[in-house]
Amino acid sequence: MTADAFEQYVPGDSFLHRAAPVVKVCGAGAFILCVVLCPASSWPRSVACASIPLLAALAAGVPGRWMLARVAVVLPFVLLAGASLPFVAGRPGEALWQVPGTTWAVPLSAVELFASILLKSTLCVLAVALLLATTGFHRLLGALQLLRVPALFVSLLCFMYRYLFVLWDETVRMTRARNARAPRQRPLERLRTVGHMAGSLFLRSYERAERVAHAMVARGFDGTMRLTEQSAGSAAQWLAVGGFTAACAAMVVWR
Amino acid sequence: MSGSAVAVADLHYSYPDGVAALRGASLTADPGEAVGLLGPNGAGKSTLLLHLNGILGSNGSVSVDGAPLSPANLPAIRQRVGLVFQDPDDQLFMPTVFDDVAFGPRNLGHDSATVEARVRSALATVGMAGTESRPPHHLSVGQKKRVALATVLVMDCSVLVLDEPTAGLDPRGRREIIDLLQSLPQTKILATHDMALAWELCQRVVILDEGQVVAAGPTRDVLRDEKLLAQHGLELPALLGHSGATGCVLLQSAFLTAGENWHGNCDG
Repeated sequence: MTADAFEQYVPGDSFLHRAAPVVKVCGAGAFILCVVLCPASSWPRSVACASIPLLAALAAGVPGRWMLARVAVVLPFVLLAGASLPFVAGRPGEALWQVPGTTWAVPLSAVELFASILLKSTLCVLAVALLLATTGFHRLLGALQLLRVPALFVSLLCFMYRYLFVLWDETVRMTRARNARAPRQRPLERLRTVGHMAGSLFLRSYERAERVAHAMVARGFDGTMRLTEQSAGSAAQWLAVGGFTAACAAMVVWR
Repeated sequence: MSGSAVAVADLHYSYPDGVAALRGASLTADPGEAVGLLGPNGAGKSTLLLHLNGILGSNGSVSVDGAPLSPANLPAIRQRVGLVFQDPDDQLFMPTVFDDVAFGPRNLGHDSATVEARVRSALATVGMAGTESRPPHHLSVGQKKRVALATVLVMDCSVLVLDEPTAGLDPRGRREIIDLLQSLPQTKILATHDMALAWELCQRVVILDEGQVVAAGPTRDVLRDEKLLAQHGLELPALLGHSGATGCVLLQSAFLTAGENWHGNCDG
């Protein structure tokens, strides 16, 4: 009953799988910065940016369906944020479409901005998904440690990943127990039950956290999380990611 | 007590809400001995175990291999006493089996080559070699219990403290854990409700109730005292019942008809 849906690693033996995690983190970081900083209206650049994760996914053998599933998770949030743009971001006199019978019009610049946000966020998610798919979460944590990301933050990510599965299993068990005893609840009653379940889950997690802390102290924990050391990357890998970063920078500054 | 692997004397402990969990509990274990800690739910068994490597501290004394538990020798005692928790999901908190088993040796400051050699050896001892890169949530409960045991064996501990080692296991998983524990030379203190486990594995048992030791002695003497067990909310499993007439513990098989009980273990 484990939450395999949270599993992010796609096994493979591509050059992306073999590259040192820390190198991949830097490459993904450079790409995300490039996507964010590229002007919204420059469509040739957008197409160039979009081709990078797609070609990389193809080379790494990560299935398109898998990538789309990751994008689908964040799409509702992007759509929600973007939905308000036509109401606030338009300039007068540049209506793309006039709503019949009203004075309200959808401005062209707002539609462009929305499309740009949609594309940029999708590309950023694809880059991170690809990084996780070819690296695995625990190796990514080692890379973050190598990049001197604050230890507390790395520890938090480490516990979050480990206990996400445990918490999910507990949630599934509680939901089954609820459904077994109350298969046909009214929406309001169901909402109340969900509230109680969330409270119960919080208390169980709190107690578990205390037991985990005991288990850590029992094995000599002194406040420093020591993960498996990851490879620092070969000179060739750093040269490649350096070239990639330079190309990204050129794409941003080119006029 | 000199010569004891573990000596606990007159422990008192109350939880922050004022509930007294231990009220003068004492316990000893000789080197290489397996001691069972029995008692009803809420008797203070787990609380007592948490004192054995200084996670909880209170009035009274705890010493391991003759060294008293004190802030100065706490790291050394935590290396010597390996504590295995009841729920392996509490014990296994790292993202992979390797990182989890390596957690203790890394905290002890060993270099990566030593850590790797120790981890592989500990995993081989518990029969889990080859699972190094697997995340704990991909293991069965039995496998998690074995890896949890490896996380303390890797510390080269001399005392194993186990909280309900067979809880939640199917008969095969339970048998594997018992065989594994029997093969380990360390001193063992195990809190359990599994009376058959205590019967099979422990030379001595201690019954704890309401934070106090109410009985202690050789396993087969204590477990034959039906009245004592009943007084403290314990009983032998149906297949390991009493015979009032002979005073022997019987192994009753469902395959035998009534009156044909096989009289086993009468001589202890």
